Amino acid sequence: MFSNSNILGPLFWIIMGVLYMVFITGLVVWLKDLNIKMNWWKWSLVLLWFILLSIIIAGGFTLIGENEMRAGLLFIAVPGAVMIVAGVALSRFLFRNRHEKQNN
Amino acid sequence: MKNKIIDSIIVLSVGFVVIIAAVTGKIIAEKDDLKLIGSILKPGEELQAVNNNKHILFDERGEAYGFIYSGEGRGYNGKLRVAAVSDTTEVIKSVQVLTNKETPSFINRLFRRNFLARFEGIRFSELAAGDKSVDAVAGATITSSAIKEALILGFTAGEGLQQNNNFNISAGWPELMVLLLFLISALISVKKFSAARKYLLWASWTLSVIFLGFVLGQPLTLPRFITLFTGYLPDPGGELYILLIPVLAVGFILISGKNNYCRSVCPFGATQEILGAIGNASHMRLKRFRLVKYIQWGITLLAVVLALVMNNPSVAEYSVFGAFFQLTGTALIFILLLLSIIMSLFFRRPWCNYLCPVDGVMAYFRTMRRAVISIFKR
Repeated sequence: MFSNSNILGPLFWIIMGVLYMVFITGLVVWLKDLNIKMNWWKWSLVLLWFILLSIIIAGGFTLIGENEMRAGLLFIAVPGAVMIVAGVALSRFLFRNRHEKQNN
Repeated sequence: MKNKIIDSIIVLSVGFVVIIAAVTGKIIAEKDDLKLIGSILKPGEELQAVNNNKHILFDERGEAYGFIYSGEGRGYNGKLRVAAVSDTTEVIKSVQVLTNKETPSFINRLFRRNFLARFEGIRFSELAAGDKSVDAVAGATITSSAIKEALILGFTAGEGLQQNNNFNISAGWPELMVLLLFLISALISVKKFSAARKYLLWASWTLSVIFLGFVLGQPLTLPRFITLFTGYLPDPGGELYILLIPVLAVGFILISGKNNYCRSVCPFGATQEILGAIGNASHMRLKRFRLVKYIQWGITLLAVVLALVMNNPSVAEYSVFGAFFQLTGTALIFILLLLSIIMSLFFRRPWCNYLCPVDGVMAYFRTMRRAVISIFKR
């Protein structure tokens, strides 16, 4: 990725790792704060969504890096849009119990 | 009374502008056919016309070494003119599209897949006899067929052979599907079926997205209206459904005043409704809603005028339907599509309400209906 530097490559992956940890720990705290009860399959769905989103972004930018601009943009845009829709559906599903509790 | 006068003024002035633009476009578009064919010659080569469709090709030494056949085929947005260079034994050496009105992203799909080169090495007589070695490119079938048709017609006309000019109308499941969708849309408006309205709407949206959107890839677009306005009709012997959609959509508005197409038949409208249901979308009410609508319709009028003046309906294509259903379009269109998809999750029908060019056309026909009714009521 950074062919002219020995430090930028590892640094990039360290920053990516930190961001992932911040996101996951932040998500756990946020869901607790919102009183949303999570079980193993709900967590599996969230992680599956997050892993798929990561693969789409990584795959798309890899294609762009390989000078396949059109393929890369399509790879990000099409499954990316599907993931956004799936993300909204998933969040609505997770937040549904919370709304029911508030109504009660 | 004041509104009726305003309606009449809008209908007349928009109609006047559109007609002026169409006439201007026709005058500008008249190009010399020989100049077009001459543009594909190499330096030193010369042409001698045998007839309108056949030219003899001479090299630098003045020796005849082949022919150029040119003909027209029925494209998606209008006729496209194609020329093919052949040797003296009628074997195709190269093919070029001289003029076309196709949506750039669709014809570029053919160029990217070297569609024109697939004809090289085929004898014209074999092509005219029904050679099937060249398949249409998926997602640009009509344009592919139009190029093949133009080559065959150019050759048969050039050689003075009998052409198959039989007028035939054929209907199949696409036409049935279009009729079914409009029938459901009509039922939705009937009070008797108000209890089943929700189910009818969802049935219509689902069918529309699957068949009209993904399978046929034929939502109603602004270029479709422009091609019909300029008198170009799709082939009724295989593409009747393309004609049926605008005729029924406008017919419903003129008869009942209701925009059945946008409400329940349009596949992208249906997509937005489905996305809205996923995201629990709400109505977006802008403070200056009317002003935004006028801007939306103004852009539509500008696109229509530009397309007519340039005599190319594809100029007016800025809808996201092709990008969504067939993954073809410019980067800007894809960005617009992505924004529309995301906004559809939170607001109901953002594309229809603020950007769709078809909305402007439908609004014009509704205004026209109001104006005509007010004249007869007097």
